[in-house]
Amino acid sequence: MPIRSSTRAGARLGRRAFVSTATLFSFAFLVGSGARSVSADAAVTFYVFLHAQTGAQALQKMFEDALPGVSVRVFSRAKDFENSVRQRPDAVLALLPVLQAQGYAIHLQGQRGGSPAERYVLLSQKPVSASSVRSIGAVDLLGRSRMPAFVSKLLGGNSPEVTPVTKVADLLPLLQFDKVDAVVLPERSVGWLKSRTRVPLQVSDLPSGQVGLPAMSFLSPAGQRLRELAPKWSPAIRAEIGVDSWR
Amino acid sequence: MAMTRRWLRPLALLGLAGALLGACSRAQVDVRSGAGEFGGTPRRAGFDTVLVFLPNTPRVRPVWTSLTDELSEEFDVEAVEIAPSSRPDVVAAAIARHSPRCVVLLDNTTTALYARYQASAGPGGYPPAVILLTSFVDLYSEVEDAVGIAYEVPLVTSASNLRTFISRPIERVGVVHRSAFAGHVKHQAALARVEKLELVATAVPDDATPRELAAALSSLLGSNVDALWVLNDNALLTPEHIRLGWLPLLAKDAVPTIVGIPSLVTRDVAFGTFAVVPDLSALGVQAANVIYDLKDNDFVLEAGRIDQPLSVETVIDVERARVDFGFKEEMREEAGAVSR
Repeated sequence: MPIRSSTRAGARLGRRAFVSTATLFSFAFLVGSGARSVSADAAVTFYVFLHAQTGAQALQKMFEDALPGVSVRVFSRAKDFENSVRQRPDAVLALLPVLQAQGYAIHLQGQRGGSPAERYVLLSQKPVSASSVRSIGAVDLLGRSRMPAFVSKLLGGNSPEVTPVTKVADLLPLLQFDKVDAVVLPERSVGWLKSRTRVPLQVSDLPSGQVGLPAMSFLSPAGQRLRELAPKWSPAIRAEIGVDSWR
Repeated sequence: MAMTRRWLRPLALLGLAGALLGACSRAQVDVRSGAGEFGGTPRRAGFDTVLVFLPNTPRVRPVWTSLTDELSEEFDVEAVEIAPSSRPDVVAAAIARHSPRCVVLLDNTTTALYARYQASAGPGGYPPAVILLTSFVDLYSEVEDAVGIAYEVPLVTSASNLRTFISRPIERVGVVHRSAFAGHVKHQAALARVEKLELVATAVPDDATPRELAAALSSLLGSNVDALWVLNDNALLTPEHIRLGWLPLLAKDAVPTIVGIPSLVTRDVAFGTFAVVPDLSALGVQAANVIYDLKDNDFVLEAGRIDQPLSVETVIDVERARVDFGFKEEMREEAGAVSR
């Protein structure tokens, strides 16, 4: 609307028009800011490297639903994750030993039952012990070259051959086809894996079987926004990733 | 069953699936000449080379990516794109140039070409070969000094996966097979016993007609099988065999049908209930495991060893499973892709 101020009425009209126009511009600015804010959120990249029982796709969908506007990627292959984090996402979520191996600072540590770590065990067809087992299947958390040392530590120093897989479910065929003496996995996944087979499986303890739970590292100011959101994730997400609180 | 117009589209879809199966055993797409899309690793002093022969097709790419990622720590990896028109001298030239410690053969066409190369070059002196994405490699491979990972998901994996999705008990699984597949079926039956699965097999002639297929299916279904397992045998999956053999019998007797091609699970036609296929990215990791094992064994291989694929993806007709077979709703998230 053109501003006309040649008469008092015209001046009032002009002021009203100015206010109206200013209001319009202010509104546009606010809306624009909101739109920019949504766009800024959409630019937040969040990389997750965890092995949920439901699978990577389902876990990704859960995070996407919980974090609208955040670009989420869930990885199931260690090398894929390792190669991709070079793109510097804003935040990462992975097991503590994974983040430590990548040299990330830990900003939030997941807890379950008050502990930042969970118990890993051996699962096998025949009785085995941590000191005698000669071949192990394991979900690849750290990459092929680092997994033997990780497994050896769990076994209290024994260094069996390690066959890496990319999903917890893939540990079962290793046992069905007798490809390994045992598989190593979180104790909380044992019931799930056993429910998928009629092969009688035995659980054996590990002398040093504690592994750090999922933790988060925020790699940019934008990623910091996720710090407040993590504690609000749904019970379903927390159950999938095995965490009930954060510290 | 009279052919009506409403069957034309679904049959066309199933026919396409059959064609895709057939394409596994013959040329697929033309490959661009030149360097192609598959870059390898840089050459590094002191690193052994793994030479990967592969066609430029979509399903090869996730295998290539994960295989290269896994091998790159200890091997140089080079790709040689194979076209439908490629000749054995392409293979010979690549081997002469790269002196690989090991070769990987991806796809039926590539494997067949490599076998022709060996036949023309004469016996002995080949690097060990790892065969992937090749149909019924346990039956048909003519490559010397080779090991492989089967492309077909073993019944024990498919059926035990199916059990997790439905409440209907799966104890006896029926399969109709041509005589040529008898050895494969026998091996699958042995593997399945670990999960207390009984495989009930009925053989048909190698040139079985749809009518003969229907008769065999009728006999199987009459013996109270809990599910049917459909082999990736394109001779029994022609449009005529599907229309006159499979569908009439499946319409009478609702049993879950396990297939090896996702496009056979479709709401348009009550054929496949549950498809199980190899997870291609994980297959690359498994292939890398084989190659690292070879390295540990100084590249002396246990020729003829064929491993089963460990990792799979599933497609399930949730609606049909829910109505007929007791789909477990708590498995909805894990169901992965569902039929559209």
